[in-house]
Amino acid sequence: MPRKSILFICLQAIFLYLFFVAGCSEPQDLVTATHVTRVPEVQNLQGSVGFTSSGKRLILVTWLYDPRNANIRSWDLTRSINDTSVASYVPLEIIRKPTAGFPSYQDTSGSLQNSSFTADSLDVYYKIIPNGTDNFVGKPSDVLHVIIRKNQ
Amino acid sequence: MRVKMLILFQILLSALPLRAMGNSLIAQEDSVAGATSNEGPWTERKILSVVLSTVIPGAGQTYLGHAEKGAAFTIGTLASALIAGLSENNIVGRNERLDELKIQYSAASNYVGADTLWSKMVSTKSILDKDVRRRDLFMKIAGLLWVANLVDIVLFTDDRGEKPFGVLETKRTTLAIVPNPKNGLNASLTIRF
Repeated sequence: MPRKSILFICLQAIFLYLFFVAGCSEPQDLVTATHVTRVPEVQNLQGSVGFTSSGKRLILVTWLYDPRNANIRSWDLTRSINDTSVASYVPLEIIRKPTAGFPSYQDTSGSLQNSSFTADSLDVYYKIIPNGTDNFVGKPSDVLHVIIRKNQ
Repeated sequence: MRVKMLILFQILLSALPLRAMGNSLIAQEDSVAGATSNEGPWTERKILSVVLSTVIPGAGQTYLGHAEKGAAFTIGTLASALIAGLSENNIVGRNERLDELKIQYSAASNYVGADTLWSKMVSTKSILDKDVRRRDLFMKIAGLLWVANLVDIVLFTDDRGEKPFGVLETKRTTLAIVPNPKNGLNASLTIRF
């Protein structure tokens, strides 16, 4: 085989390599997912029904969070009564980060009292949204469902 | 700029052996008629076919009279290269989309928005990875076809002889376009009954 042909094939192979292989784009990598742990998640959301010393009905809502993550300023507590649709949750209170221990909220609003009942029971739903010190709104908690009965 | 330089390089590369071949042909014409070549089986037609096959896979086989084989190599290689090129184009687009999503993600102010963007990024990345695999696969196929085409033209393709340009032949008809020695081209259509 003539040398010129071999040389030409080699040069062409180099050209093809440079044009097609070396000229290809590298795929970009994903960034690290920071949104999941940016603000501490609401954990172990619980509610219990009771009465105040003056006889009013009370729902005590408690939850935990990871105190090692300091990016938490407050929690938005939202409530919905007899309705599970997302739009029906109304902001109830902004709970500030406690200086010690874990946050809680006592709901003694009038709509929970016997006088406001139109049926035998009331379905109350709570959802808590954490807010970071960097103003990042964290992952909403699972829904807490509390049933209260008229004669309870 | 880089692409332009590579294209220029390709043009120069293509011109180099053809020029050398032209000089060689002139030298042969000048030599005494009937003189034997010392190149053995490497005739000018064979060398030109190697050059053609190097630049366009299958072109050399077609030139030597193996039209079907040549067409198979040409279509196979060009189709593979086309798919690889389209995949590369998709990769560029999806990389840009990922860049855009990354900027939006870093600026997101709430979990819900950030999570939606994150899902879009994961889905884009998944499609991007598929595009990369497709591009790499078809680029390898194109490369292998190119190499196979060269091996075939060098080792396994014999010269079937020169055919007049523009001859289309079926069982009953022949269409031929041949140069007129005086001027222009002659076209002839023959139909057998």
